[in-house]
Amino acid sequence: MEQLLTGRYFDGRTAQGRAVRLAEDGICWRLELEGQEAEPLLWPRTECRWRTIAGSGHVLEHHDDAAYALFDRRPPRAGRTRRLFARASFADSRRLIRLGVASALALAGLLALVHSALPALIRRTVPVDTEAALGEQLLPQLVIVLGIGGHGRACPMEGRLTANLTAVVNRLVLGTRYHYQIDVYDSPIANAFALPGGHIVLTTGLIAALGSAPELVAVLAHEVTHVEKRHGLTSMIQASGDGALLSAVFGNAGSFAAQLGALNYSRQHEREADAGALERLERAGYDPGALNPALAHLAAASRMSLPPGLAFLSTHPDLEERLQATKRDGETSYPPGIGNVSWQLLRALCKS
Amino acid sequence: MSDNDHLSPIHPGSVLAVQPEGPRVDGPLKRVLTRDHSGQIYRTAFWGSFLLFPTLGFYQFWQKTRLRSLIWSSVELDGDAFEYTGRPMELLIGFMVAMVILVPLAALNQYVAVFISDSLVQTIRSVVAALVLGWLYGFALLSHRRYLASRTRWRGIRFSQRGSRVQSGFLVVTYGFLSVLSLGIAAPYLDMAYQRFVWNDTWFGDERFTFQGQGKALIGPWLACLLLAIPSLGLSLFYYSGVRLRYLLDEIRLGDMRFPSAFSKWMLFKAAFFFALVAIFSGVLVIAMIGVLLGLNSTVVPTGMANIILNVILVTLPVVFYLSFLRFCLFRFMVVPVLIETVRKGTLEGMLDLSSIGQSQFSTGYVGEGVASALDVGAF
Repeated sequence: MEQLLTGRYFDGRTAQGRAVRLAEDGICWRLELEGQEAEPLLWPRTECRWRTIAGSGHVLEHHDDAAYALFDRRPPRAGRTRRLFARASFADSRRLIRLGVASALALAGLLALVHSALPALIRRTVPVDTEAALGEQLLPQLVIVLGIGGHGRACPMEGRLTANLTAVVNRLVLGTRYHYQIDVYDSPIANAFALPGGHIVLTTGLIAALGSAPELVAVLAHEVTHVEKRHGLTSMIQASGDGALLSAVFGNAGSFAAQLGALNYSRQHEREADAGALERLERAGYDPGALNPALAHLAAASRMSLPPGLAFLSTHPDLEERLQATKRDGETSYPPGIGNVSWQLLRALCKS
Repeated sequence: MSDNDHLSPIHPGSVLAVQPEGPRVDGPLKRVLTRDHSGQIYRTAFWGSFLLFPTLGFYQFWQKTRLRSLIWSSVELDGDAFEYTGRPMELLIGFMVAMVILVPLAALNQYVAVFISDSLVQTIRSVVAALVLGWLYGFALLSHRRYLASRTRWRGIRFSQRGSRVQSGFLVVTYGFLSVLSLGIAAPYLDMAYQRFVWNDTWFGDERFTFQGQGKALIGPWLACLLLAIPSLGLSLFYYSGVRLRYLLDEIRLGDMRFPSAFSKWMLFKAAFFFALVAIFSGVLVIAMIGVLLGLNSTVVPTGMANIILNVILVTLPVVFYLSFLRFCLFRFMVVPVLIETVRKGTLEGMLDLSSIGQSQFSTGYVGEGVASALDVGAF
């Protein structure tokens, strides 16, 4: 019989350690204790596991006994016992696995609740005033994002330009409960943002990227749909739940990351906003066919402003699908909504 | 025949003292020894800290387990080292269980805080949130100790922490309230009352620890620490922590055995001071580096989306690395040296009859610290 290792044996009942010699004996581990006159211990290998404890060494444990032996190294044929089900013969491991599965399922269900069901329920209960106040809380974060690189100031607008834009929006949202406000910010980022409560922020980068005034009207229709369907509020509620979870893992940085997430809409929200925009444009008598080129121009502007290696960042995976869904054929002529003078004024904003 | 029948009972009457059969002896009997695992500890702390972000924080359970194993096994008593037997999966599952409890509470609190503007509701919410958080903290403190104790063994005998976690939660809330009422002056009395609650229910096998520490022994250093808190920029708290730790170790008993440690009362102060220096110096370096990188970026890519994205990356990456580095420094300059020095200067006084100590029958539980982990109770 080959003697493999020497180590320390602890019986698990008394605070007494003894020298032990480990050998293989058929299907068993044979433990010969120093100074013991009785028969050596025979532990069937299938009822044992090896554990490595950093700093302490390698522990041979028997599954229904508190006794164990501690060695500096493992015997060469100790076998792999790191697999999940090899450990499962131990009662504590079985309970651990059961609880792990149960808690993972509960956590997944809870996250689904916090992320989907709860926001849908809560968003109906929040008054418009509160929603508007919440939207304004997001504005400073948005300005920080827009302001990187020395930009981010609001462009002063002439009264007639503001009146023109407001008239267009009011026609798109007849009978709304929101009070809309439209601002243009100086930023190379070609985008528009609808804050909860009706504050719409356009960028000079967006206006430069669009090909015509009807395209801007289409973008406004898209943004007011986000507001009317309370997408921003829903994102904020989701971000609150996510923030609770992320801050538990990452501290305050996680909560901040979740708040930034409130500025983004899900693909589902974007699809709903596209569909809603087409309906609103038709109902208001504006050109629904302008949404498609507006999306294409925005995508191109985002791509062009990125260096070649980072271009993939701007390629929204479902852009093709959105372009397909917003395609409209037809010869019908529509009023532009924003007059030529206003359009030229918009394109000149923040240029001086 | 069961496997237990193979085992011969061993009750040799071993006594952890110089003279097993002799009379009681006062004074130091045997030094506690340390095994040098500091290299492994620092490597684990370093790489583990940098692995936290790429693994979304989940590596913390593996890092904690490894660090604890290494630190526990650094302490040797009478020829045998302590063993930490906890497993990372226990911590992970404990954390998930805690999340199941905490996420709805946090979400409810967030919802009321953000979406209800009524001032009376907000006042009630703040009070309830403080009470619940305080209670959870107390619950978590004892859970943390209970898990650590149950996963610590020496010569095969487990430690255990008993006592009600619910009661621990109420004690922390009550003591916290009384401490605020006394403007912090009564803190040592309340602290020692809580330590008595905890230590008098800590066990090694079936032998109970005892602790009779009193707040009056610490009130002088505490008042001095409070007076000097502002001029010393808070570092006087670390001097007090050193005094408090020594007092705690002086007063803890297992049977007739005491565990005093003669480390310098300034040890924690010095460690905190050095850590603060490293944190500030490296922070200034990181800010300067970010400034240079942003300057370079504005020269190479002056405008556009590329400039914005690169700026975000150039600010985020150094900050992430800095936070990881700070976490490592916390272990390198505070946690580990303080622990090692405390043990190195530790002595055993009095006598403990090991033959009378049997295995703990207290349930070990099978999940990790849970709420404690989620609330970040305990340094590691």
